[in-house]
Amino acid sequence: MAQTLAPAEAPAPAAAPSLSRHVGLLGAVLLVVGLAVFPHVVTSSYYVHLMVVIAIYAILILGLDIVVGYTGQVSLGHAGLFGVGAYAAAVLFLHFKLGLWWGILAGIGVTSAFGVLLAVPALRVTGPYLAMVTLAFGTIVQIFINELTPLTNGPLGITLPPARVLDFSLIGMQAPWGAAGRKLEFYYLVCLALLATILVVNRVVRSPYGRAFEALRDSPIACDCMGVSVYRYKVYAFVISAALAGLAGALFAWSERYVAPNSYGFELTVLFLLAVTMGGRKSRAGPIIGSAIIVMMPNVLADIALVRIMAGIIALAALVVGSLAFLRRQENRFALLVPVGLCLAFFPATLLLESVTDFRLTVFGLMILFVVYYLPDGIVGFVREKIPALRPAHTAEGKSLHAEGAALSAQSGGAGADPLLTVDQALMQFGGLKALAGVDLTVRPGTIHGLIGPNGSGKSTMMNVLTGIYRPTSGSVTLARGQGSKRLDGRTPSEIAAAGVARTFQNVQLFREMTALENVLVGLHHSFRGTLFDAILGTPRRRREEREQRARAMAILDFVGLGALAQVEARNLPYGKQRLLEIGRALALDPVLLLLDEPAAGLTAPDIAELTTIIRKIRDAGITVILIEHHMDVVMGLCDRVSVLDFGHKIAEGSAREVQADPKVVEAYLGSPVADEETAHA
Amino acid sequence: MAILLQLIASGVAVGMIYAAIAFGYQLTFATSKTLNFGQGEALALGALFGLTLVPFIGYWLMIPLVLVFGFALGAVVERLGVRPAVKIKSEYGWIMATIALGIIFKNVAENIWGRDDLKFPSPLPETALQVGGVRILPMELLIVAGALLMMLAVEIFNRKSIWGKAVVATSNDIDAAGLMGINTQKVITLSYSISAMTAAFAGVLVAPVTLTGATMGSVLALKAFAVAIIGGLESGLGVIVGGLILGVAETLTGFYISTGYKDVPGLILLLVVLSIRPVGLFGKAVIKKV
Repeated sequence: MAQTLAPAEAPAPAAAPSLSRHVGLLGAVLLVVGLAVFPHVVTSSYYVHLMVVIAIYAILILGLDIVVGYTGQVSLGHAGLFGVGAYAAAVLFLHFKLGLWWGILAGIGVTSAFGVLLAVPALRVTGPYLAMVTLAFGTIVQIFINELTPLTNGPLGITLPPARVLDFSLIGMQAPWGAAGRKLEFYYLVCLALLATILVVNRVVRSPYGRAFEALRDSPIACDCMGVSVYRYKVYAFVISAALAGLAGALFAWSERYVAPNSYGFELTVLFLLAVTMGGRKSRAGPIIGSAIIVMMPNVLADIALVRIMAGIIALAALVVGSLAFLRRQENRFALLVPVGLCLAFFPATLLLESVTDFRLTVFGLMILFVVYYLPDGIVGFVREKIPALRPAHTAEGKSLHAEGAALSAQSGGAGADPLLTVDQALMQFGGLKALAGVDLTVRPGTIHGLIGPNGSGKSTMMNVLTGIYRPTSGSVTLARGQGSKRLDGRTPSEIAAAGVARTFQNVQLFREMTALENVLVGLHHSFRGTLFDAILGTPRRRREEREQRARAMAILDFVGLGALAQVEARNLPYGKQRLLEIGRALALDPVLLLLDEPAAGLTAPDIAELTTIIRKIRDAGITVILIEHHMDVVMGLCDRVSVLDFGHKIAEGSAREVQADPKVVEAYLGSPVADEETAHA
Repeated sequence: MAILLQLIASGVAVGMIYAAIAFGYQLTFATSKTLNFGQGEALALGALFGLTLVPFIGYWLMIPLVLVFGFALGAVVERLGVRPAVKIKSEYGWIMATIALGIIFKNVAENIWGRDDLKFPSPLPETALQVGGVRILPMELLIVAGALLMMLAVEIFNRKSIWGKAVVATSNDIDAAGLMGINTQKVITLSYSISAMTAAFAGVLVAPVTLTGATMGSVLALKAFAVAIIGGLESGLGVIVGGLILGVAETLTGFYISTGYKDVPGLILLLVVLSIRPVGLFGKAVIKKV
């Protein structure tokens, strides 16, 4: 049984600025040409080597951006992963005389395994805990490299010979580009690795995987409730990130031709984080810019004359920008004085010092503070904000802004089965409080079932029990599926979502930094069949799927009346539209049962009218709806059946009219007149 | 057996240092749900500052000055690193900012006191006391007593003084405390000050038995975080127990395996505890309304 509905509103695809779609391509071409001609323009081997280091760091930082930018976790363990990759390559040479290519394979393989290891604690903890865990991981790696002398040669480190990239002697030939060209082989290998990394990261972050990463960052709970397991996708993110760190590490070992335990410590990890934040998260250009900054910085600082000139320029710029802002803005004037003062003070400080090399880390520390407070979106984010044409156009990717396919496809899961959902004696206890004290509930298919009750009566608790966010203390929840039935209690939210139960949230839980279209695409995650390799290789199956699902997502957006807002970030939508988007996202799961938690809260009267129309259409498509709502006119107008909760007990059930007339319901909402009289007489 | 007792005795002293630093983590976490990632540098700066003062005024008179120094340092960290980030609700912000301040402190210390580790003169005789076959350095006794006294003093401050009560109120419910007219902003600054003061004091306690230098605090602070996790970020007695467990585990590892690995058990313990005990979304926060 599949029903099709006409779009509620004609689609009005926003014309993507043509320039922005080409910016990425233009950047890529510039990068390729730049990398190709660089060693022929600048022949100094010192600068070629510097370029190699920048490219290697950029590979790692692009990977770090997946963890920091996309999944929003702080990792202080990436220098450790980098070290693991470098040592994997070096140890392979030390013990087995295996060269560069084996080293790269080993670096990626071993480091990915460590990525899984690092993901285990990361699954459970976030924020400062995760930062400490990853820091501990990095420290342990360093200790083991130092102590496992038989394997790693301990504190002495391992020296490697010049890397042999291509071995022409195997086929009995001379290198066609001569001795001078041979020296550049490694340079070009690293460049290719960088370009491949950019391509892979680009494809992964625009695939369902990348959307899952962003979704778990913005709202882990909603992510689970969309059937996207936070657990699984965090592992993916860490493994991809670790694999790139391993690739970078192996290349670094062969580029420096020397590995030592102390090169992979805390300072390096902080530098990587500085690079990713300063360059700009969630972009390809950002990590490359960041990498260039952290590699060049020590060289710049070594030249005191250059530092003085730069400090002078910074001071001048700070003075100009500061005084302009001081004149223009009335509020927060004095908040500006601190950064401006610091920038000004930097100049005389450099004049006083003979050398700033010893204060390298202080400069880096100040840069971190500056970036965190005044440039939180990095250089790329700042430029994008100033020049709208440079904003990412990936939302327009595929150009399939036309709607196609059925917005709703009700599944035959519950057809014929009656009731669809059975809750038997659900008990939910928090300490001494029984939020649900043994509630029975049966929901018949194809109906809108209202769940009402005063504040604190257990409605939302019921919702959380049904969707697996809470595990009920006792009692059962059963969903009819086809001929059989499925127990839902004790399952994870993502399993329950996969079984066909979708929900919205009382306090909106959208993926804030993603567009409306992407939000719906996360809901459609279940219909993507492509694997990670499809995503990385960009196979035809992957492209076809993406095209189809984007069209389907547009159909859903049209259905909830958001077709024209498809490319707007969720956080920028008006509140009423955010609520509708949540419903659209839930519908993308193709649910048999849709739970709406106070969808009308805070909506204006016209919005509520629109909402009731949509809910009716959803019911008419054969999707069963459970509606929690405080607007009684909405409840009475929509619901086929209403259950009333009070203090965790079900006190009434019946049609809207019956419930309205029930004295117990009136009492629960308004209090008992009898009790008042009694106290008055007493 | 005698060796085991000996190892346990030495482990206890180290463990109390961890407990003192972990206690500092708890203080700031309670009031603001933030931590100072530069806690180790506060410890190192305290020790180095003390080392500079000792030749002029001696060990005992130096302590109150180091306490004042730590108190001021904590306020600086809170003002520069934590408050602006909390204002813009950026978790990444305060983590990175406190790390950055830590790096700056370490680098400045290296430039003032040099990169080499220094010897801190011991205020007590350096000959060990024999207690039932176990050799104990007088300094180790001072560490245990000093750390316990410090924690006790903070506890008494929290329970008896009006500012301490404000700290406790803010820890329980920062919004309600704010509505009751408590300047929670100041309370958070105060908690950072006390936290850094504890760390600086731990620095001058531990310095005579180890070497003193700008990098002395980094690993100590990380292991103290392990202690804070093992003992629970909320429980005062927990950190003492956690500190003792870790301190003893380390001296045992150092003796039976290799001194090179002595930092490992603490770090592994941190990884394992956090992997098994769910904190955050699936922990206490489960009862959060969705």
